[in-house]
This record gives sequence, structure tokens and C-alpha cells, in this order.
Amino acid sequence: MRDGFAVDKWLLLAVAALLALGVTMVLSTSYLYSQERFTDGTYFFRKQLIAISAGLVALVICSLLPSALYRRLSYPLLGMTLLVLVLVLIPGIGVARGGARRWLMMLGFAFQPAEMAKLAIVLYLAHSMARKADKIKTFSLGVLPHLIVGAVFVAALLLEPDFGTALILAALLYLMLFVGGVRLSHLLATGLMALPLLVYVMLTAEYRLRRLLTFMDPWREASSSGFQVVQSLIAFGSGQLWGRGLGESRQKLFYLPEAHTDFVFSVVGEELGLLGALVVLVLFGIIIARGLRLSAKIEEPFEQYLAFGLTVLLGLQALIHMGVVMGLMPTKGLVLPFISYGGSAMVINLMEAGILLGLSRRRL
Amino acid sequence: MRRADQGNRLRLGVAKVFFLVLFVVAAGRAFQLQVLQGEKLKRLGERQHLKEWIVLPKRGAVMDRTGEPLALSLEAQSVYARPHRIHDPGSVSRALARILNLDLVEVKQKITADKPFVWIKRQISPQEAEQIQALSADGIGMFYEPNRYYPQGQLAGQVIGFVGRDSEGLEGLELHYNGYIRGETGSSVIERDALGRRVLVQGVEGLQIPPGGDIHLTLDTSIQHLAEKELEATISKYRAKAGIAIVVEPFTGEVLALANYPSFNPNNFSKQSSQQKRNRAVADSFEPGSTFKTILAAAALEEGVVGKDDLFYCEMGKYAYAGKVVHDTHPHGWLPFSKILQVSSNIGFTKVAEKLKRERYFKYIEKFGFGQVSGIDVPGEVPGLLRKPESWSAIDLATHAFGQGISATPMQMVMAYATIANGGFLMRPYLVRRVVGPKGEVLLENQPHVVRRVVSEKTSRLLASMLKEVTNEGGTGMMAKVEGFEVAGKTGTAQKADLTHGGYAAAKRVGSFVGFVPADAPKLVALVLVDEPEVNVYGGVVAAPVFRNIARGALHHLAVAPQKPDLVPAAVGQAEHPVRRTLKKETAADGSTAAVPDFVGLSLREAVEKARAIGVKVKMRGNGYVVRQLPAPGGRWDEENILLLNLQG
Repeated sequence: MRDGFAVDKWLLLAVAALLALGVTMVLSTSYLYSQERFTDGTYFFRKQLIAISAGLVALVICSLLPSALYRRLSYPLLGMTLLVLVLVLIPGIGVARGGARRWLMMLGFAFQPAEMAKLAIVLYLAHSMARKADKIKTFSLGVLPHLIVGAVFVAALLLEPDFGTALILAALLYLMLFVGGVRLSHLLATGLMALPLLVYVMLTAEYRLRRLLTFMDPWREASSSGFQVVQSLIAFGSGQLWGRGLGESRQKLFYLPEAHTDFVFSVVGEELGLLGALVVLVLFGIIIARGLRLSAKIEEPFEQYLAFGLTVLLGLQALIHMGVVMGLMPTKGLVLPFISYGGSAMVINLMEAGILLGLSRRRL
Repeated sequence: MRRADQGNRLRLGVAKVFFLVLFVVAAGRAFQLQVLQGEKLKRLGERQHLKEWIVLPKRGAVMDRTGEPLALSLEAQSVYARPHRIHDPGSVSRALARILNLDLVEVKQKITADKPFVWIKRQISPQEAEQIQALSADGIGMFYEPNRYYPQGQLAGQVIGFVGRDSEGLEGLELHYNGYIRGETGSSVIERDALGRRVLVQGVEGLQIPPGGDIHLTLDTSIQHLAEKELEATISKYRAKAGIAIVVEPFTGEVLALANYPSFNPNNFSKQSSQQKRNRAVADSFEPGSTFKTILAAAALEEGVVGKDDLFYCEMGKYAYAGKVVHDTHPHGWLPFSKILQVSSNIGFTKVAEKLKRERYFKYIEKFGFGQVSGIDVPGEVPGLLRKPESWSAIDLATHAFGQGISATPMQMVMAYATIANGGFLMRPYLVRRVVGPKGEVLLENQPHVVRRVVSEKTSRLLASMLKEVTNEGGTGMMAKVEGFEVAGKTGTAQKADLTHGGYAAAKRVGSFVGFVPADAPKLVALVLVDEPEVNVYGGVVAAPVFRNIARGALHHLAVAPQKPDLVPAAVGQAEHPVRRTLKKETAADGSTAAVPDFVGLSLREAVEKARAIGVKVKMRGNGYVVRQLPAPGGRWDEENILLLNLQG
């Protein structure tokens, strides 16, 4: 039985280290904010601890479930996810915060269907691509169905709007199709066809265009649209080599918006310096390296694609979050897995890590 | 299948490189931001985090020479709300509206606003503050804010001036002594959050700001009050535009009273005109008229060109001189010099000026302080207009002799007379005796300052005796006479320059009287100037009686014994005396003192006002509310009518 539990130690260690750092950062970044809003500094911290506990339970369960079950669950989960993605758009059912209708209230918890969508898409793609492995080179059977499902999900997410998750899903779709062996010509052609659509989406929403322009030159609009990015750069940069020290961030004193969610890496940089930032980078690097190594080791197509998809999902989220914080990408509103405050993301990310660990368990 | 598998592995390898590149880019960017640009970004951050935190010190008080407060700093509380922290906006807003007497809807709007911080009401009363404190509602708090209060209202308002924002004196003594009275602003660099609030950092909390120094004036509130009251009375009686009264101690230059009418109340300075704020006694110059003859008399006596009894022919009222005709109001023939001064003969003085010559005359005009500021310790003083003798035409010598073609501030005029009163020294006038720091240390002490000796003691004695005749039978200033005392002085009735047409305005006059009393051992020198009276214009009529009333009250207040007791009318005694403002109403007619009223529970401000209303002097200890008083309520006043109040916050 000992062998049965022997998961990838590196992977487990990286996730555990990120979780430990995460709760610390959530306490540090949210304390004053929740003190201000709820006169209770540990309000977010305690909610986060509950989410992590639930997530860890989910992680253990997910690591123990057989992959055949995931295969069987992939279609029902896809259908269910699509349902909640539509439900969340309906006013009165979906809860809007800050102009985006992204939350469903369930059992007193706010739940983001978008987080579920990421996992559902990975399971669906892994299953479908494995099933159609021999037809993957044909456009109509190997490419089109996946593109259609992907496009529906992306469209639903854009309606919330949740441009960040939509982008992750699109990138995930293409990366998985690429690794699954889809012809490059098919990928290029559909990619080019999607380009005008992307431009349309960018230009129709005024704030997205502004974000994009701001991204080009944030300092010009430092007091308005460039505010978030500029504040983030100030925070991240002022950490310098060693950081100000844990809890010593100045920028979290309401200069930096969403310090505990979308810009948590900024405060990591400010409080822990280049050293801390690199530690986080390396920990995600370990997850990706181990995930990709695992995927390469696995012979069975579904498990291989699943491992790849989950790795890409975690890796992309982390990289995009860090890219936004460091001003390399336009503002998206994406959390940093295992670190940022947010219940749905935490539980789903830990489930993804659990599945990944489960896959590693059967390979070692 | 196998080939496809290998293709997949190749593509997995490509994906690995893809992620590797992204990680290298991310790490490189982190290095760039934190190491290469770290210093610059940190400085940018500090620009928004760090702020100089200013703590205003408590401004010092202004007190008259007896310790009566004229300006006080009360630390009033201001109520604010932090809407996000209020749990029950309904009941909190009802309570706030009730306590602070505000509109319920407005309060509710404020405390439900989506803002981290809003003011509910600034500068509330201590009673209100106590009720707010008792409310102890979450999200409602109070700050101390300094608030300037002038318990005597308009009394010496233009002299004291007023204070603007950030405890900066803007006018009067508040401005001139701002450096002493304001105290040093405490400041430290603090960190603040994005909402502009101070971040609690150790050490900043304990910032102790020493308060500003207290100013002790030379002014005497009793004499000041009397001067203002008498000035106002004559102005309304003669329908004048404005008026000025100054009382100075001649040997030191201490200003005992400085009154300007129309009056100015610094408690609501913003609502009053700039004319009212003006301290015209130093800021405006007037043609002095006949009061200036004394300067010529002093010069001529000092230079020995005339003697007291030298005779001059006064041309029976009309004297052709330098192509013009000099007039007297009454025709006179041969008169001795002393008589010329007594009847204020223009012709006589023209002849004296001819004997003195313009250069020597001018030298004395300057020595008496005309054409230069007196150096008094208030802002805005002007030197007046003086023309060089080289530019005088022949007639100018005559007009200067009777005070035309020259302008002087009332302060210069009164100091010139003080020179004659004190034996020949021009003193520098001053309003502040000393500034006392928070620990009782003397920060500044103004000593009497001799500007220069102007005339000999002999000359000044002689001139004083001549000026006495002005207020005696046959003089122009008879109405200035104070019962029991000899008054030396001079009347003046000057024409006013017509600012629109040039020359002199037909009907506009400035009537004045300047003099000192007792003439032989002067205790005070005073000037009264009435600007544009309508009913009567003569200084001997509109100004001299004001001088008399002020001098009489002031002499009594200063306990100067009458020189000629037989001349004191029996009735002019204690009870009716105008300067004795103390215990006006509550002193029963039969002479027994009324019961002491209850002050317990009143705020500092209310106590001061109540005490002022019944005319008792107050000595206070502490801050906040009256918790104890001596004498006790219902008790008897002691002889000095001093009320001791203990206050607690």
C-alpha cells in the first residue's frame, strides 16, 4: 500500500510551499482592507483557511479517484458547467460585483463557474482527443468539435465578462490540440480566422481597448486607467532585492487595488523582494516541469492529455497573473493559483493538483 | 500510432521550451523591475506614501495688562464618521441629528455615503462633544481642532486683529506677534495610506507640540472700553463718519487704549468690511490742523526765537502774507505768545514761523517723529506725508504753522504730545509688554524705548504750562477740562482734502483734541479724533469732551489723586463712574453686593461670557467645564470681584 500513496514529491512539495506562502500573503494583503470593510482584519484570512481546508480534502479525494471515473464524468461535467455558465449570466441568479456577473451563490458561498469551466474543458478535451486520437489529423472530426465547444465556453465567459478566463481557455485549447497532434495548418488557419474576432472583442469593449493602450504606456495615464499597473509596478519594484519584509508593504495601504487577489504577486515582490518573487516563480516552474515530465511519461492518451492540460492550466494562470503584475500584459483580473484570495479558484486549483498527483501516483 | 506518439512527444518538448521561455522572460522582468529600476520605483512610491504631518500648536492667549483675556484658543472638537464601520445608520443618524441639531436626512446621507471618511460637524460645543462621547457609536469619532475666540468681541478688535486658517495671524497683533503666539508647528514625516489617513507608526503618536506664548498687552480693558464707548457716543451725537481715540502712558510709550470707530469684531472677521478691520490710528494719516501748532511752539521756544510773553500783533484777523490772506476765526490785536497758543491764532503762528525759518522748523517736525513710522508693534503703519523745506513755497511756511500741507497719523500726533508731557523725549509706542512662554518663561519683554530727545525739559515744562491755558477760561479746549485736574492740550479743526476735486472739501472737517493730564505730572496723554462730524465740526466741541470723559475715567481707574480736591464735584465719585464697569447690574443700589451666580457646569466659553456680562474678573485653571468656583454660588463677592474657576475636560 505504501507504493500506492507515493505521489510525485516535488509536485506535492511545490503545491504545499505555495499554499503556505499563499495564506501568509492573504493575511498580509487583506488584513487592513477587511479591517476597513468589516472591522475584522482576519475576515478574508479565515474564509481562505476554510477554502484551503475544503480544497485539501478535494485534493486527496481527486488523487485517489481512478482516471476511468474522470473519463466517464467528463461529458456530464461539461454539460453541467455550460448550464451554470449560462445561469450566471441571468440577473437575479448570477451575482454581479464590480460590473461583471461572475458569481453564483451556493450554500452561502460565492462560487465562480468560470473556475469550474477550466477543469471541465481540460477533462473534456483530454477525453475527446484520446477518443479521436486516430482521427486527430482530420479537421471535421479531430479539430472542429473541440473548437466549437471551446468557442461556446469562451463566448459565455466573454458575456460575463471574464476576458482573462476566456483567454486562458483559448490558449489551453490550442496548446492541447497542438500537443494532441492536430495539423499545424489547421491550427494556424483557425487561429487566423479567430484573429478578427479577437480584434472585434477588443475594440467593442471600451475598457479593454483602454487597458490595452494603457498597457503600452501605463505612466502616461498613471492617475486614471494606468493607475493599477503603475501602482503594481511601484509595489513590485520597491521590494528590490530582499523586499521590505513580510507585512511591510506600503502599497497594500489601499494604493494597490485588489492586493489580495489580482495583484497579490505585486505584494509578494514588495514584501519579499526579488528573492521571494523568484521562489514563487521556481515553485511554479517545478509544478510545470514535473507536470510536463509526467505527461511525457504516460503512455495512455487520456491520462497524458489530462496531465498536460492540468499542467498548462496551472502554469498559464500563474504566468499571466505574474505578467499582468509586472506590466508585461494588459490587466486581466486573474488570480495567482494557490496564493491569491478566492474560494472557488482555490478549491478547483487544489482539485486540479489532486488529479495531477493522482496521475503521478500510478506512474511512480 | 507509434509515429503519432513520437510526434506528440516532440510537441510536448516544444511546449516545454515555450514555458521555459516564458519563465525566463518573467524572471528577467522581475530582475529589471526590482534590481535595475527598484530604487526609482521605491522613490516613486515614497512620494505618495510619505507626507509631512502637521500638528498645529495651541495658539497663545492675548491678555490686557490686568490679565483679562482678549483672545483665547479653545480646542473645539469636530465630529467625523467612517460610514463603512457604522452598523446601524438609522439610529446613529437619529442620535447625531438630535445631539448636533442637524437635519436628519442630511446626516443619514453623509453616514451612508460610500466614503471612508466624512465630517459630520466641525467645531462643536463641549456639551455636544460629551454627548457624542457617551453615544460611543462605532464609526463615529472626534478630532480636536483649534478655534480662536475673542471673549470681549469688538473690544480693540482692529488692534488685536484676527487669525486665518492653519492658525496664521492675518491682521493686527495676531499678525505682528504671530511668531511668538502661534507656537511652532509640530511636524514629522509620516506614512499615509491611499485614503490620505495617517498610518499608525510608533513614535508619531507621542508628538508633543508646545503651545504658543501668551501675550500681555499694555492695553487696559477698562480704559479701552471707556474710550470706545465715549468715541461711539460722540460720533453718533455729531453724526460723524469715524473716530479714533488713543491713550498712552507718556513716560514709557505704553498704549493704554487704542480705539477705532466703526468697530470690528474679530470673532466673525470675514463678514466685516476691510474699512472696519483697518487700524486707522496707525494706518491712515490726516492733516492735523491746529494741534500741530504745538510743534512749532516747541521748536520756537527751544530755539529761543520767542519767549512765553513775547508780543505779536495778530492783525485783527486778516493778514496778507505771501500773496494770500491768513485768517483767524476771531480778530485779535497784540497778544503774548502764550495767548496766541491759547486762542490758536493762525496769524500769530505764521509770524512765529517767520521768525524760526523753514529749515529749523522742519528739523523739529522731523525730530518730533513726523514723516517716520512711530515703530509701534502692529502692522500696517504709515509714515504720513512730509515735504522737504526746499520745496516749500512762501505760503507753505504759514500753512505748516497751523498744520496744513502735512499729514500725520494719530499715533504720531499723540507721541509728539507725549514728548512734551514727559520732558522732551520722543518715545516709541508699544502695545505688548511681554510674551510669556508655556512654561512661564519670558520670551520677549518690551522696554520703554527713547527714540531721541527732542526738546529740553525746560522747553517742555514751559510749553506744558502754556497748553494748560488752552483748557482754561478763554481757551479753545475748555471742554477738555477734567474736574480736579489741570489738562494741557490743544484743539484742532482740520479741513479735509477733497480727493475727487483737489484742494479742500468745503464741509468736511476733522475735529481733534490732543493733550495730557495732570498737566504738571502727566499720567496719560490722549488723542481724540472725530472724522467728518456734521452737527458741529470744532475739535473743541466734538473731541474735547470725549478727551475729558476718557481722561476722567482713566485717572480714576489708575487711582490718580486729584490735584485740586476742592474742585472735585461731590457727585463724581465711585458709583456712577463710567470706567467702573464691574458689577453694574448685580450690584444692588443699596451698596450691598448681589449673590454670586452659579457657574458650575458651564463651558470655558460660556463662563467667560457670563462673567463678562456681570462684569467680574475671572481666573481660570484647567480646561473643559467649570467644576468648582470661588466664591461659591450664592456667596458674596470679595472686594476685588475676582471669580476663581476650576475646569476639567
